[in-house]
Amino acid sequence: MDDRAQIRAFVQALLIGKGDDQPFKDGESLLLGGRLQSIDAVEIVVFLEDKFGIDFAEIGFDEEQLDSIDAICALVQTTASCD
Amino acid sequence: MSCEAQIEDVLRLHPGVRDTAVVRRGDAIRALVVPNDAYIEEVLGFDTAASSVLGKWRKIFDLTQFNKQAASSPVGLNTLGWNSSYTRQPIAAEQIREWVESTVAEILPLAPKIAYEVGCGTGMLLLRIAPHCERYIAADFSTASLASLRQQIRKIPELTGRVEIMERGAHDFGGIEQSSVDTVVINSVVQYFPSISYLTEVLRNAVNIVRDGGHIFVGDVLDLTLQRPFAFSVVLFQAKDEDTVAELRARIERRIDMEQQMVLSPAYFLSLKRLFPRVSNVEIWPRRDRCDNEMSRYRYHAVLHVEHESRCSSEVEFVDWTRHEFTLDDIRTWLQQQRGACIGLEKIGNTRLDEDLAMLARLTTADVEDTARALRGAKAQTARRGINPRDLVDLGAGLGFQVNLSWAACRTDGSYDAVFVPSSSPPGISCLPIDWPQAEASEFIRFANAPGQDKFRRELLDQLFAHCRQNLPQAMVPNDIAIVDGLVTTGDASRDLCGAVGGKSSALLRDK
Repeated sequence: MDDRAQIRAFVQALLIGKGDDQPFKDGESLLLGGRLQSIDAVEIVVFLEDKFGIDFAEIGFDEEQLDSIDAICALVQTTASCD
Repeated sequence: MSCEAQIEDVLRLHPGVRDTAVVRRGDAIRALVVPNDAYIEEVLGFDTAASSVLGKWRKIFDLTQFNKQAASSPVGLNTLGWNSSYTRQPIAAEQIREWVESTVAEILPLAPKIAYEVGCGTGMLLLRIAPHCERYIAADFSTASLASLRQQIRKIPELTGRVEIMERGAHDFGGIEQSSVDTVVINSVVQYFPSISYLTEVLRNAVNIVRDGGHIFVGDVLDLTLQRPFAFSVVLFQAKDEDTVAELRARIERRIDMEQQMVLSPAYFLSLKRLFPRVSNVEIWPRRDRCDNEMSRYRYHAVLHVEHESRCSSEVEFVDWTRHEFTLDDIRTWLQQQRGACIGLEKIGNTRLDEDLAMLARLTTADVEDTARALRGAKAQTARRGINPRDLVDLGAGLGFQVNLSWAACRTDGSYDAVFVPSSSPPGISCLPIDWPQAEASEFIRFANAPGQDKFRRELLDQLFAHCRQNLPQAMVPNDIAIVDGLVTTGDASRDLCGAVGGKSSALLRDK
């Protein structure tokens, strides 16, 4: 599974875990759009730290970096490849 | 033995039950169960989840400080992470400043000299209160927030030697001696606690370290009695014009169900007088901010007074505001006619909430096909009945009164009570505890939502139904079981507690 697909699968599982099974596009705002909350962002952060070795203390953190699949992939591209 | 008593005896045999009350309404049998928190935590596994929740909040606070703007925040006003529930954008710094300063204005009259703060964060309160103290111990679990705080303190020489910083969880009071501080501050923190039992343990430790005559200030608490109007106001704000009433109602329930922060009824804090003998009085203060925002509308402060000498409370006669719906001008005239006595006004409509409550009432009766557009159209026609608490305080102060406010009555319309104490009163009068109007008994059934506990409580309900089926004749198995935080003890075997629970979100219900 490529990086984008893995990220999408993770976020989808997160949404389903909250009872949200509605589809979402890669560019859709998830955090600022309200489908995910801050505490969910932590799950994404831990996933990115573990999977891609991203260190937010080093690169800085902003919720906008995690707001959509596209944004997350763009973030990962600065440290790893993302298809 | 009555049928209800037999069912109660059976339920009490289950280790997950701390107390229970069974009522019958016609042929239906309803059981209210106060759970054994230790069972939910240790046997069903919530304590692992709770630790995980605390870990996640800690990470959020650390991550917030990794934002590149953190370094350039003004000293004492790091507003990162303060986002509007409505727009999800940062709340204006000036509103946060007012939020901080109005909170400090409530704490300083408690005269803290040796203070302990739980969850100091980046020091927004500390930097304003510590200069008034001899010693200020500040604790937080966020490494990054404390690093930011230490940097700020280095820029303020007068705080050197006066402030001590500890990195620790809220429950950890290690090294703080019994009765060694006069003030504990726990501000805008309890919403991140995983459960009522965790909060109670924190407060037990806090009571232990406060000396006689001291205070515990639990500030900026999200109000459970107003959770529904708040949820509705956010849902309506975010709705598209064409969204239907049916969709709005579903979103409100979902928002309430998915709430990840702990929302508390003032009734919880008021119950602490029974739980902690050293707590001599508990007050519930609605916020006095000038800004009209989600914090001033839907949050309150709880103040626990520890071992205060109070042989009697201030005898205040309360006038019922709802009988006349006094305006500010009416109250001005009334106060000007008073001759040095303490006087009270109860059930004052809270104009901050007029619109949200009126719209929520419309939503309740609207046709499912009506739209958000129609609701918004009706908004403009909503009459403002109430009085802004801040306006009342300013009015009283201008006429020479100290104005005390209370939300101890826990009314779901957000109405509040006020006592006007002439500023010329001797301290022996102005400092007496007030016998505030209290909540009707039914309000004591639910103390808090239970964020993250849904799965565990449903498991408990499944077990309780199975337990009843195994130990009772089929006809005596309850039709539904509700998990609640406390029971009304009227001593009346036929007491009807059903009305106190009413509605899906007032307690976790399960039908057999």
